[in-house]
Amino acid sequence: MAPILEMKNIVKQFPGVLANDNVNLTVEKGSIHALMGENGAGKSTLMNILYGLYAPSSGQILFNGKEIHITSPKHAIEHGIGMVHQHFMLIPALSVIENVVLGKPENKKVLELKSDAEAFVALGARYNMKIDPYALVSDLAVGQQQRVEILKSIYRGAELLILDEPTAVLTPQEVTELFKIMNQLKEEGKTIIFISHKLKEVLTICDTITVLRLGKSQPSVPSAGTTKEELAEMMVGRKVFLNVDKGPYNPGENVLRMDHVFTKGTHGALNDVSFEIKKGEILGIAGVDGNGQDALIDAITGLCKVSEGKIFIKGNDMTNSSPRDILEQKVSHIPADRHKRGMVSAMTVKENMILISYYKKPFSSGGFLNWKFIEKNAEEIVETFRVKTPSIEEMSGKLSGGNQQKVVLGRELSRDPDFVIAAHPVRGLDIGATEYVHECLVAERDKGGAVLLVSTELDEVLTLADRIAVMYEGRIMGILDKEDFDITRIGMMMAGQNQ
Amino acid sequence: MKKKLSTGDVLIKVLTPIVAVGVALILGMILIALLGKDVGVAMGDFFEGALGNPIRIGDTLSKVAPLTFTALAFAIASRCGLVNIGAEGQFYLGGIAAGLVAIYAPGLGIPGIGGAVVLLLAIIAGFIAGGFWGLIAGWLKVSFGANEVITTVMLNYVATFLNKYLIGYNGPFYDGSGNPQSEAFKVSFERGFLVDGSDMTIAIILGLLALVFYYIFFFKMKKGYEMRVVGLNSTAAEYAGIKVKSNALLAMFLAGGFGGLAGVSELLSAQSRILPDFSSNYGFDGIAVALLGQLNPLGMGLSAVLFAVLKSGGLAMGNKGTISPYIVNAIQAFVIILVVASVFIQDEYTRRKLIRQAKATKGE
Repeated sequence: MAPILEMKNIVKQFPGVLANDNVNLTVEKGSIHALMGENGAGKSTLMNILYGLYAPSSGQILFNGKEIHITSPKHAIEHGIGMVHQHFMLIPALSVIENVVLGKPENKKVLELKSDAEAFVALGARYNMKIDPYALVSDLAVGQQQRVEILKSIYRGAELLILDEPTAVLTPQEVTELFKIMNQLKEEGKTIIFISHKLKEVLTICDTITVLRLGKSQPSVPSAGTTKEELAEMMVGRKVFLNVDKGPYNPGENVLRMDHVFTKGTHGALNDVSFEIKKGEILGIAGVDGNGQDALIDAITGLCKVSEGKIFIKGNDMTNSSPRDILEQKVSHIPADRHKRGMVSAMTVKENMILISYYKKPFSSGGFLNWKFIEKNAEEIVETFRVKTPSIEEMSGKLSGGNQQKVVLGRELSRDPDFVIAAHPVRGLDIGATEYVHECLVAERDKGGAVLLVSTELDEVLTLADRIAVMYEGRIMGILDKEDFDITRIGMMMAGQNQ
Repeated sequence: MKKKLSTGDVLIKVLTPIVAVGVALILGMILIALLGKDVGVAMGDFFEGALGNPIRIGDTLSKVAPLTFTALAFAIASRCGLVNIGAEGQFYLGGIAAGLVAIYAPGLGIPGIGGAVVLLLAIIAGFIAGGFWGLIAGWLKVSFGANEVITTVMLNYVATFLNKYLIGYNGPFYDGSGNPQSEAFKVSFERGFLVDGSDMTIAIILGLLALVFYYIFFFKMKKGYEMRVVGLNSTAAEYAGIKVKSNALLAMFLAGGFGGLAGVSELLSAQSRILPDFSSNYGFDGIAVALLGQLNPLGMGLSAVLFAVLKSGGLAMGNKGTISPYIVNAIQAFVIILVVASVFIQDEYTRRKLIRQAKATKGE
């Protein structure tokens, strides 16, 4: 089949950085084409060029064999290029159909919402999607919003659909649904560019894969016959070990015990949560974002009040203790949002290294900070945890995301914890950094530490955890032992069903 | 503080305040010219009045201490993420407390209460009174979430009127002279410090020590570190087990305390009794001094000197009668507006630079 899209020698120069360096991308009509790469590899830049958000510094775009110059998203839509962004571009306060017709060139002065709504519902039916065109977008679940976005692009006549990290917000079942829709679109002759960093998904759904690394495109490969390891190597540029080596599972005594814990609050408050974590084990919390994971961590670390129930750490009742008293129990916390919680961006690396321990000897004594020791300690952590920074005097906000996370990780793990709480520890990190963070967490477990791992990436939980607890609407739906890890079952539990 | 700064950073840091002050002076001259006055004469009066001879220089420098203290009142709160507009009120409270000690303590007949001890007591009383005034705003903030900008401004009014009441005709500390004023201080700082015949007192040394304290507190002490964490990221502070509220209270107490010391240094150096409006705007000038000095101890010291020159030069221009003192106020207002604007320009410069860098590293 003929290519629908050819991007040739695309160069995009930003001040100080070459985001796209002679990128070539050829997409066959009627295929699902994966675009992969680490953060900063240039995927988004390339797609933003295609969608008319950026102008390329040089290069050529052929669409259906004809050279086109796309100057705006409107222009891209007219050519039949649609894009579903990672953060949806829907207006929550408007109804579905109002969002769909927004910006449609055929709109008259008075909108003909009724006929549009009928046509839109009919289109949805073709893909087995039930959609209420008059529902407010803000009332829809995330998965539904995504389907509206996809349908909207199709409705507006997209022949080529760009999906930017579409599975990031979905449960495994919703991912399966999405893949069904994608396959149906493909059968109808539509073309899809699927942006993702999840190796397994890409190999499942895509026909051809193009990897970007450091702004350059690697030669495309067919997904049939390609392995995860090969893909990871293409992305990182060196061999990567996807499976983490763990020592034997040897659980000891309880480190954390949650006993029928409730918290107050409207969204994602804890509802009768009980579980235990033992020495030498990683307990993974699986669940779609916003189902009480934040409340769970806040309750354990003393950052929110427990309204009922008890929390024991190493046998001590720490229910509603102060955050500092809890940290003093040799608890380390790698928070979900490193910018908001984990570090102070406008402070230097060395100042961030003492965020938790600054008041203790030998970091300070007699009310004064001991800068000599602080600097020595910071240098050590930077070296041990391979933080790339010009110096410990650098503002931590200036470091890359991966290195910021290493600052947090290094600080927390160098405190010799008995219990590590890690929330989304690899969010936004590239494969290399992810590998390292995972190694560190497993090392804590193998040393006899207890680890609570909260992640929305099911693969991460499945690889690292010794047991998995699934959360849904603030409740623990169930706790599975390693031999019961089953993605379908976990997926059902993530969606609130328990057979 | 050994941070590597690019030459561009340094240049912009040093140049913006200088340019701001320069532009303000030019605007002032234009204003004077528009009024049909001789700019040359006015400027001559200005510099003659501020720096014309050693005594004048001494008099000018005597204003450095109160300006430094009110700048610190703003800066300390600012480091903790709070906006203290209340230095003016804290100035009054500190001045009143110190003034009362200076009037009444010597007469108590307590053995050992001599001049120096009374001054020490006055300083302590001024610090506590100002600190208490700051603490009210801090308490309203942490207990009820009341915006400290509004409460400190309101407390300024309360403080000035409280002062007017205390020394007014029916007030408890009215001296009965027919003018609203207190009795004369029995003890005060000795004038002629460093420069004979000038108004300068040892208060300027206290101001310098306060700057040193500020530096040591925030960059060498653990409590100061804690306060900076709260100021820069209160969520991270909570995460780290730092008590945000008690830090806010302490910051407002310290800030108010230094505001109070401004009142002490002005009253016991340059004045002889408590009068109705004894501040002449020091509280608000302090904000500009702190902003111009970019909350940096050295920067604030230098900008306090600059503002002292502006204040006394302006006063001299007004006193000569060539131009109205209100024009002098207008010129000072130019300086403040431009200084504040220059801070925004710098922030914008840094922000754009960060965005450029972020784009450069991410490439997305």
